[in-house]
Amino acid sequence: MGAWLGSPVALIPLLILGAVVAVLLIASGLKDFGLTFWGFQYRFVPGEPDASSWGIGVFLVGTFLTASLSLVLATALSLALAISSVVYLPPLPGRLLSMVTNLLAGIPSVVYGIWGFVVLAPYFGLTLEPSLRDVLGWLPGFGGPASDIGPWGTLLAVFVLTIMIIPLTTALMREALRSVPRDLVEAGLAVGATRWEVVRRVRLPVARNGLWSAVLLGFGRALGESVAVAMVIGGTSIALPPNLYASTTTVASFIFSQLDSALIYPNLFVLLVEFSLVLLVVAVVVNLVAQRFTRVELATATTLGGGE
Amino acid sequence: MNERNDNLVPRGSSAGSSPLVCPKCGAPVAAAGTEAPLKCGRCGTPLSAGSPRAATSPIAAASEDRGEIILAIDRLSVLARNKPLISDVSLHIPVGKVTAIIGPSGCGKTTLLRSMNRMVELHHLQVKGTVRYLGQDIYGAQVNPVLVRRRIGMVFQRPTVFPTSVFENVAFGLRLDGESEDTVEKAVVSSLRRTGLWDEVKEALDRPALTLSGGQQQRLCIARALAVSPRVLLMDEPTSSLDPVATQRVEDLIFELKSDYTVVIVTHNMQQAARVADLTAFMYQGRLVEFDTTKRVFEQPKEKLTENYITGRFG
Repeated sequence: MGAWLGSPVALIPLLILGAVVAVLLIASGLKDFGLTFWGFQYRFVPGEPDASSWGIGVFLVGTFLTASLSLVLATALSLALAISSVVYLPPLPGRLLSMVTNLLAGIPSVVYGIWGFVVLAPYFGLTLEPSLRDVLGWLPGFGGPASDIGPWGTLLAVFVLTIMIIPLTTALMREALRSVPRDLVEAGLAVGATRWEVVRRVRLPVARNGLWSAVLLGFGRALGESVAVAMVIGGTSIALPPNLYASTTTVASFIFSQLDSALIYPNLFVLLVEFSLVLLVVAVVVNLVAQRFTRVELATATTLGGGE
Repeated sequence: MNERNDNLVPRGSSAGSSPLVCPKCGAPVAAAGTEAPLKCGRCGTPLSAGSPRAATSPIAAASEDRGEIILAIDRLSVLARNKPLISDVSLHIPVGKVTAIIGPSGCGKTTLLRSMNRMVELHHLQVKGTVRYLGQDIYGAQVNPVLVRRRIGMVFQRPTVFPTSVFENVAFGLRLDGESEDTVEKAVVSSLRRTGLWDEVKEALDRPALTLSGGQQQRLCIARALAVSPRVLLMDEPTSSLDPVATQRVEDLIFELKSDYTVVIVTHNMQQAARVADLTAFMYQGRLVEFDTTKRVFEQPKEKLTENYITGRFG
């Protein structure tokens, strides 16, 4: 029973990937991948998108800026959450914490977006950004004036993204820490290490690959998030934002927010399709690297058993 | 080597000024010098013999006088959700001897071993009764389990090497103390020599420890345990994952170690117990059935159960 499911079913993911790439390639007609496409130029003619031109560089800066910053925050928080639920909390509260964290993953991104727009934005504009400017103003990126368009900008997008990827990275990190052989943890304790010393010197090094894989998959998620980011990032296409309060755009949120115009302007339409191809390639590369870490992890786990 | 400090209560703790008190005359036993004495300086009472009021069930000590007791287990029960894994076990382990714990699978021998350095607590098990190391109850409220495990080391069924170099594996416990590089290196070399591993790995100290053979890995784990200068070494079926040649080497090592350490070994292999142990304890269904010299347990057991097990009628 079920043997017939074997090979044909295994092809489905491959077919989907192939179909997505092919359809995007056909739709774009491959006409715009020239120097201007990869550049940073930004020419916007109001009311005439077909006469405007955007280089993807602007959007890639916004994408990697927001994704990397949120990843730094999310990694720190997820690591703390994962360590406390696996190592420190008693079983019941530990499971409860995992459950609630997982639940956060199920909230639709548009809900996070509207929350960021309605609740976080005023708080950022009135409280957080002025205090950050006061305290950390001497750091590059934290000084300078607020954005003209209001509190919507890079920093707000970073916060919303952080909250959105925490459930994913936490769950993966938890698994990585759990997969550390119990023997090794006990061996550490048996030499007189405290629980924290075992975390630092045994669990984290042994789970290293799994943790990296979690970080990369979180990065992939952050790179591709469109709806919530589009709602809070402000969406102005500034080549290099002067500070974190400035509004930027990511590739994904630009595609999402310009889709309605693209139906009217064919050139913009092609541009968006090509942008999504680039995003696809970036996402595939990030995921492949993440999977490579997972494989190393499995290899280590099997060697750890020892044997002659 | 770092100095042995047998004080299990963390320094600076209010009640921790002198927890080593002679059970007979009450004289505080100074932990001055490198090693705490095993006997009271005033009246000569062995420090470990346990206070007289402790109710001790009859098979606590082996039949002959074995000298000083380093680990005194009295009326110990370990429960998992109110279900006993071991019940009312009393066992006095003499210093400088190899004591084997044998018995069929599930008899509680590993639980008993893991109660001797508070490893049972990691599994949220409930412990009743006392385990005294040189007179101090290791489950005492003030006692720091980390210090217990420093004095009472452990080696596991499968080699538990960390994915670092050979050197760093042995140095693991010493690094926790922030010892100087010089001290660490001396201790690592001397531990590796002690386990007979030095000649095999001296050229490969920087290699990943996982590239060693299983037998070498297990001896590396023993070296790691010895590097923090314990008095007692608990071994939980240390050769069950090794081939006969590697097993032989570990057994030889156990024999050599008893001049400096007290060894408690759990084994399902009766021949192994007969080969390496001075004393043997037989457990069955969570209870200690018999504890005596290995020779007596194997040649003239007092209990019918022991005889049946030894002669292979069950187990």
